[in-house]
Amino acid sequence: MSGKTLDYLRRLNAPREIEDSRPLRIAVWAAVVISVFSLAPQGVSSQALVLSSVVLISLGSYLSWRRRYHSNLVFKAVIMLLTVAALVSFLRQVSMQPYDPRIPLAELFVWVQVLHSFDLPRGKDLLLSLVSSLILLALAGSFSLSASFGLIVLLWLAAAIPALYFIQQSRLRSLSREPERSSAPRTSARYIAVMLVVLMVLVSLSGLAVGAFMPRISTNYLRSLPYSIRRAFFSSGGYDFSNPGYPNLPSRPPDSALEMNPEAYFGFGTFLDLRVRGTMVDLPVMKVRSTDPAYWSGLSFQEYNGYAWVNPEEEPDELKVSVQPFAIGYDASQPHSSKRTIVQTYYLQAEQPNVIFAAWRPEVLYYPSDAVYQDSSGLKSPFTLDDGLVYSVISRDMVSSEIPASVSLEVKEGTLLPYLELPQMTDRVLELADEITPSGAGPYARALAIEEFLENEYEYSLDVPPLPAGADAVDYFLFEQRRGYCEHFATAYAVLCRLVSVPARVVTGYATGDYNPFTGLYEVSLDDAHAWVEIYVEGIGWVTREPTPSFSLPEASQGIGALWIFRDFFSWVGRNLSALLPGSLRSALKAGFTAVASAASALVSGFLYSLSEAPWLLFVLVLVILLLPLAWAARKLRRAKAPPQTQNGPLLAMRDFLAALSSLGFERGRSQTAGEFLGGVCAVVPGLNLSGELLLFERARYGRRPLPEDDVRRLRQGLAVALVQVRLRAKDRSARHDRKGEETNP
Amino acid sequence: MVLIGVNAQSGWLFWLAGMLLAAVLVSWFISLLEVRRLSLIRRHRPEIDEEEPLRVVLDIHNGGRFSRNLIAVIDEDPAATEPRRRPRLKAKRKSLREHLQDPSPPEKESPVSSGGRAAFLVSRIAAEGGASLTYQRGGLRRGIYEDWPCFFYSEGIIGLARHTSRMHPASRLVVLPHYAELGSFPLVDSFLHPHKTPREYSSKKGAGIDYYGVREFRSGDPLRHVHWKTTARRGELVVREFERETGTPLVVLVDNRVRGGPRADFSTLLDAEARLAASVVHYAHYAGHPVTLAAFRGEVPELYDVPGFRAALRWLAALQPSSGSGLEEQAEGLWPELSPGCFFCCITPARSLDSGRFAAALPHMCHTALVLVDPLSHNGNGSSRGAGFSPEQVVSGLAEAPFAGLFSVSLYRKGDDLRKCLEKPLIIYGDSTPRGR
Repeated sequence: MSGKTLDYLRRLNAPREIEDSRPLRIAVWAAVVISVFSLAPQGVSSQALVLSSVVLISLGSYLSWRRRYHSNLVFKAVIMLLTVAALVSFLRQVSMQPYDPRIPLAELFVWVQVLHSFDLPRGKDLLLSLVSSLILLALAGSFSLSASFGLIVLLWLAAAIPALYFIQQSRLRSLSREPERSSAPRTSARYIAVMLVVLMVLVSLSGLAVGAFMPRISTNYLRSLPYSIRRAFFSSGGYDFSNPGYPNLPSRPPDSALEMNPEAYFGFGTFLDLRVRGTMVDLPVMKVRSTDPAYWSGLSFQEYNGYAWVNPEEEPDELKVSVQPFAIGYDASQPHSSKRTIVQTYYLQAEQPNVIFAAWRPEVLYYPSDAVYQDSSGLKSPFTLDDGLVYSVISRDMVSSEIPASVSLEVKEGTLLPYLELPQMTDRVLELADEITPSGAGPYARALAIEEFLENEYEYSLDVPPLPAGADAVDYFLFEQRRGYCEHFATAYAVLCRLVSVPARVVTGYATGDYNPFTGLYEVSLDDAHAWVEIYVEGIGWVTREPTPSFSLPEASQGIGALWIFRDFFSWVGRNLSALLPGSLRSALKAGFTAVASAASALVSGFLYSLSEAPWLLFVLVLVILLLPLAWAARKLRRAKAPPQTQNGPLLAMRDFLAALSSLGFERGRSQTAGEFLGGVCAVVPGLNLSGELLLFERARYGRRPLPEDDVRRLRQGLAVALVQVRLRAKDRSARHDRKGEETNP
Repeated sequence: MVLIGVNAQSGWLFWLAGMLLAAVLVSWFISLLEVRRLSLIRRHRPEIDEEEPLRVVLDIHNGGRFSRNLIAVIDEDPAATEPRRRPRLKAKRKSLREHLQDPSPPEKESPVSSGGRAAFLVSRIAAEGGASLTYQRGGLRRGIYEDWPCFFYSEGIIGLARHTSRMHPASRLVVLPHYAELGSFPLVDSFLHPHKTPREYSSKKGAGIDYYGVREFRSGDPLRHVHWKTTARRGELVVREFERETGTPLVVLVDNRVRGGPRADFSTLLDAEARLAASVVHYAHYAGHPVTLAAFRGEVPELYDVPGFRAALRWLAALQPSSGSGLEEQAEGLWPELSPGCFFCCITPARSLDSGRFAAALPHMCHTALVLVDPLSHNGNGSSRGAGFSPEQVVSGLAEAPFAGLFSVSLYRKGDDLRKCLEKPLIIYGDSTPRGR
């Protein structure tokens, strides 16, 4: 290579803008390491990869600090080659697993961080590392299912904010000059630490506020919904029902009550035994991401025998696909109308029976299997649902509140006959059914009346005596027990509906669960196991109803359900804080938070309502929002263009005085100071002395403090008097000049 | 991040996006607050010479209840002529072509040598406290500068937003034109040593340098005029009083009329004329001669009887370009002010001259020295655009004294030595033989 080329390359690679700030490098290193560590708990990368990456990043950061003034050509060449290799590997992985490129992307970014850490001479390189760490953190966040990810975010923020501060400090320092002398105090490390902590608290709190009010838009997926990102496809081996909590479950209800396992729900099986007594423990079962809250149906039951619900013994239909998703079909004689689409993704956290949970009515299923099963009770999986299983469902439904109560079409029996059949009920049950339903009311109205009756007249309780032998569960509940839990209410409701010719079935599954505003997931636990009813409304289809008191159907409230989460956020905060507080304070706080959330919700609802009633209001608002910044910018521009207006009284007075003198022919030269000019004027006007006024003016103009009011007044008066004298003199001169003119030209 | 969050329906991405948005908002608020309640006083000498660096002291006071952090104080260039928008601190970047030609990093300029904006970083100003910065600024051109702005600039500590506040601290700076202390100026010397000048050009008043009395010393009197014997006798400084002191003044016309070409180029030309004028005035004034400076504001002549050399410098510092026409018209405009036999020094850009008209405008027996300034060498891009002639052509056109009364012709180019140019004119007329350099 010629000398010139070598010299050119040397200048090209010459170290420039080298960053010498150690605190900055440490802060960036911390942010990068935290972001890499964040991948491990989410199952995105293996622990070995994470640990080795952290070690390499640390080594690289140290080496790039030590060698920051070297050109490091060899390092750069090796980094370039390895980066290309990482990119090729990423593209290969994406082509093999196209449905979710996040894991290959996360690995690529980890490699980028590792390689980049070996060559970080400049502030810009460190900033790039910081941005990459944010991307890694976001990737980890997209996988995270728990609120504990918030701690990682806070830790990252604790590293990122100091990094930004030091980058800023370094950058401004490089763009500024060193003054000859400066009396500005040096900033101590303690002061910087306190300032950064305050800043972090501000950003965190503001972030919570902004995040709480940010709308969660529920548009969806690019290509497909997620389903078990880490599980290989299982080939199906036929269907065999299995409930891990009840491994020896018979296919028909036993003679005596089933013994309850508090760690598993007895409602997932071939029968629902209404004689079971006991409570379940609060164990996490699954997390659900859903565009709308709903009940997560498991199984529906058809036949009531007086003490249990059973399903007919039928061979379920096998649904096979070679390419996901599964399209779920239904009996065409039972049409279904829907206005709402609910997209759900389920993340299992505990082993569950081989029942595919979904909001009613599932129509599209993404499931890590080549086959699923379907029968009259619901969708079934070829294998039990393990911890870590992920699948997605798209359901379409009617919002119950949108169904008019006046729907009057009576059901044509046909395929719905099984949902109208009952064993012989007691007379009092029959009479009760007639009593509580208004005569002449349509089927839906009748069902609503029954629901209202049960909610008002009966009490929800887990403390329920055992069902006497031979007694009918519904009769005993309605007339003896008068309290019970969801299975009892659901059973009573379904039976009463059938008695008034409304097809009904009991459904078991899980209630919505607790919404976590941070993860955006509904956290479902074992004590959310629930039973409810679906009734058939002609022309609409199966509709979910909730007869159990203190439970309500999870519907989006006033049309702003999943979009705005601030109500859920406040509820979550209240719920978690209240666990730390004594009972009385807890109640007060609960009331307070509920009130605030309701007020905010009402405010937004009212605003949206008024927008819907007066669409022009939206236009006006948008116009105002657009015009305000324009007006502000115009005002700024006007101020910038306008000469600086002095509000200084003495300066204004002197300015006016000079202007008056100018009109009398006493023009100040540009190079003349005020003193020189006024001295000249005093020389021409006999008896005029402006030394005092001049002194006051100079104090006002060049002094550090404003003049006292008395002095300002004295200056003004002095100038006014002087102006009178000058005017007299000018008049006198003019008169003499005229007389001279007359003398020479008579 | 919001888009990915929407797509992946991941709750945490919305929170991360919210956190970023909050960081920007917090940075914006902090930057807005950081530049408020700050005041600044600028202190410096009221007058400096053109080539002298100016030491500026900026006293900053924080009247707020909280400390201010990472504030950049940007003192604007007093001579900046472009509209003063709020500044942004950005690194100087080379264009791609420049970078390919020379990949070395761009050099930082210091306000000491090159002028321009001066930015200083103050890490912290305590609440109700202050800081003082001192720096030097150079590269100031002749002129009067008042109340140029100063800015406080903040990027919100973490650099995600920025705000600037503008101050107009009261300042008045007069940059006086540079001048050379001449050892001689032939036109003025012909006052003192008429025997050295051609007889027909010497002044009629007095044949020599005999004085007719002594007077007390006045500030500005040259020491060579001190009458030491009388001083020793009286015990106070006395100087010779020459007949000529109350005689014919020297009128120095500075041609400040812009005639074609960019105004910026003419300003450079006018600076050179001011320096030449200052040098001539310095010599004549301290030789004891009354001097009158003349220029034009529009069509109106502006005359200034120089009371002292410093005042003359200030007058020259304030001199601005004016629109107008040729030297001939200026001479015609000055005619009422010039008395017969006066001494007239005309400093003008080297352009073609209508000698007849010019001479007709001058009074009888007026001794004129022409100091020509080469506009080409003062042209920013060195082009001869708008010139249509070269200075050499102009000088050679004056080789034969085109009119009676023309005493000497000098030519000044950018970079020439002022002293040499004025002490040794290109042509001195006399004995009908011009003497060239």
